[in-house]
Amino acid sequence: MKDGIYELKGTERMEQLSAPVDCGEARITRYFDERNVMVRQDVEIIVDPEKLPKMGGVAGEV
Amino acid sequence: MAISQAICNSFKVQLLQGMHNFTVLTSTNTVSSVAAAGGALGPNGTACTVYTGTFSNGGSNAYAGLTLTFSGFGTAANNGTYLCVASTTTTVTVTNPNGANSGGMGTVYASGQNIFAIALYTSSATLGASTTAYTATNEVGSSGTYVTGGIGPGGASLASNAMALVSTTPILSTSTACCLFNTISWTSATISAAGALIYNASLGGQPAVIVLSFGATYSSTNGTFSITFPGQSAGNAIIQLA
Repeated sequence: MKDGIYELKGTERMEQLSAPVDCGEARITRYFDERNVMVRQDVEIIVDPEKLPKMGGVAGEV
Repeated sequence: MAISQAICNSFKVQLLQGMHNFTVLTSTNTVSSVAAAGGALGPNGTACTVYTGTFSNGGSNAYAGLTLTFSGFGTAANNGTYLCVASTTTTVTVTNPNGANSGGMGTVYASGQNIFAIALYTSSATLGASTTAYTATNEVGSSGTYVTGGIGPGGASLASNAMALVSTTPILSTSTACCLFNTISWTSATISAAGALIYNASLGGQPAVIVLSFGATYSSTNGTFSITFPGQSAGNAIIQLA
């Protein structure tokens, strides 16, 4: 699901945004009730191997 | 106070010392027959016993080097704890010099397998390459299924603990050895975290493995906080030796 605002059954809605983090990407999903009050927020950290420290790559080196 | 992304220096040394074992013996491990000990397959030419059955993760000698414990076999000589010297998905060869082709079948488990776990930290934590072990200092508080305090050896249900990572036996991807951790999630949790530490929960002192930095604090509210790790292939794996 892309970043954006999504309507959920009637007056409830959900919004999703993403942001780069040191180790990859954070995806945040917020859920609002019919009064537009946030009732829940999920965080997913997605580790990106490109941003991880490396081991090895040199002959004989671990 | 800062969290700096790193593969912990102590972990690199401990890898070469053989302290960390990423092999996973979970999944199906059943024995259907036992061959009488023979050959000279073990260290110093000792005889070995081949147990035949189903060992789902045992392909390509994945269990070699593990200490396997056999119990419940009808023939006493087939029970005991032995070093595995070779394995496939259908056989394990262990340094039991007295195995016999007789008696009922029993069970097998690995006593050398390690469980790795993860902890989340606030931005007040100091973590980085010089971190040597799990610490409760500046760990986020318990919330939902997240439980602070770390987990360590001796726990009866270490592998199923909410803080334990589910891992896969390392594989070779082209010429790179690769590990895999499955996504871990904590539900119904209100957590504010700026980084994480992966550590070996099976070893005393809970030695550190990897520090992950989020670069800022991210918060879940009555929701799910999860960490998704990259795939088990060269150039992707969370831990890989090229």
